[in-house]
Amino acid sequence: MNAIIAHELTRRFDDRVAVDHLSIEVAPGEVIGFLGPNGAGKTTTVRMLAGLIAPTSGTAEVAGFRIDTQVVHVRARVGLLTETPGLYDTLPAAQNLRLFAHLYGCDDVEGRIRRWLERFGLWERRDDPPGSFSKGMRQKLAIARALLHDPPVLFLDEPTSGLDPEAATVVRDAIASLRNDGRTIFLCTHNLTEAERLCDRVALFKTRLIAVDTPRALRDQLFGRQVAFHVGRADDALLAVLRAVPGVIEVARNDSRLVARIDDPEATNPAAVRALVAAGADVRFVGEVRHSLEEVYHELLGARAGTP
Amino acid sequence: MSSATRVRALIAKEWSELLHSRLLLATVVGVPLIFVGVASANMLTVAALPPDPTGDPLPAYMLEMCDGLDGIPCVQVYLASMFHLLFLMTPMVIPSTIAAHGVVGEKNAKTLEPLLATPITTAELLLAKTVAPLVPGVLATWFGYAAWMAIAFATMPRPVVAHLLTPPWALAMVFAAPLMAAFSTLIGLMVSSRSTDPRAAQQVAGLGVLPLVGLIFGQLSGLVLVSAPLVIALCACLLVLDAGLWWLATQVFEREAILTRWK
Repeated sequence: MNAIIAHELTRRFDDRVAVDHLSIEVAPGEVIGFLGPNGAGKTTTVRMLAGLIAPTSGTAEVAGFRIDTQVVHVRARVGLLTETPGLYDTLPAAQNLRLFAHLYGCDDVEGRIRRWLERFGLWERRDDPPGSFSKGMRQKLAIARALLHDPPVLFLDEPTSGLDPEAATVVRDAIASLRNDGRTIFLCTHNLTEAERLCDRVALFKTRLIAVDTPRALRDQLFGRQVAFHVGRADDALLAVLRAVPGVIEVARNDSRLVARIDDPEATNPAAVRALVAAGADVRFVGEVRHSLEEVYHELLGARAGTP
Repeated sequence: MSSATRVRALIAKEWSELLHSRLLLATVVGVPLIFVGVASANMLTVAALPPDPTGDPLPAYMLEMCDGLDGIPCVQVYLASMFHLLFLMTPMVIPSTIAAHGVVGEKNAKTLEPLLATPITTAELLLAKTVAPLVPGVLATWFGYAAWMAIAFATMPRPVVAHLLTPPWALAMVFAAPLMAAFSTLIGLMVSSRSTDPRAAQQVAGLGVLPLVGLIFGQLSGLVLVSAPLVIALCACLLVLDAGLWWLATQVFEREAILTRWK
């Protein structure tokens, strides 16, 4: 059974539609990136799935419980890192965690606190108030708080937002370390590098779900697979030779490169190289053109997300 | 998981935060100290006056309150009754100040959303947020009153002391004070649930003390004489009011609205 199943989830605030008929399924243990610009409705989606606010229509199951009729069970089984850490700045780090361990009804409270503080390198600072922590440390403490009760589903809302690059790396490493725990992670972000590094699949979202798949599949769907042949002197003759190779769909010239769109490069590349060499080309190297997730993001959200 | 555990944990957190807040701590400690100081200084000043400074007879309502005493001792008894009412302001002032920070303070510190994301129910959260300010408020009241009584016993003539610790005031301190504290806490919480600024919430919640001010003026003018039946009636009214306010507080505390409408 999937860890998250949302069906036609919609949320309106007066006349404004924040989330419009979102349907998505997330498998247990999967890390999914929820990408979209500011104001896209990511936080509203997380709040609905975490049982904080109710949908206007549609429904969802999270960790096996419905968000409308079994909301307390949902809250007990999800961890939530909110956009800001929301720590009690004057209370010691361990006491911050102790409160939430009790609120979640955890057993072995002190053992859990120690385990998570040690895991994120904060055990030595357990008696210090988070007000004295760096931003990265505060965010790690907030993640530890979200994980205290070992939730099967973890929602992270912009975990590296507002952090300097060093702190962001620390937090990303902490999130990466959670991938092996078998936990479902729903990561809201507009940091595409972060999504590409951490997520199995990404969902592009702007009020409506625009696309959801692995970053590679999205790239392939959008741009196809492209191969660059570095030939030193890319002229019209070589362009024509390459275009004539079976399996090559489209070829463009780009400085000293010929960039070909090929459905199955593993099968087509040897023939293409042979043809180019036979035509007198100095093939220096051949490589697949990697489109960034950023290009996918801009292509999809720019072109198709005209809806409010 | 236990509801009591969650409530206890949140109360413990509230008290820890209280101990770290200079403003709230100053309120809890300062208010009773100021009342003890003002009451003791007044009583001692009056005690130092000549036996009959004006030569005028005391008003009938004062003599009625003094029950046999006249002159300076009667003035002391009369003043003491005012200060009794002043001490009853302690459970109104302290809890409402703390409670006013209860929800809006969490919201401003961005700690409310993680809290609401836990399985804690609205009733559990409000219970913790009610008990946490109420207990220090009542303890501060009792501490201040006990300190004042100790000073009075040590410095006042016996006939005056005999009029200080009477059944109506004992009833008021033991039963009415906690009920008044609950009243002001719930008002503070409700205002805090609908406010965006802790100071504004504190000021609005402070208006809850007005009925008591009315009682003080009533007694000052001789219109109201605090008696055991009056205190019992007051307690009964407060009990009903507190129950109503609790119901209202649970209705006013809309988790969604607090998260989505406050910016």
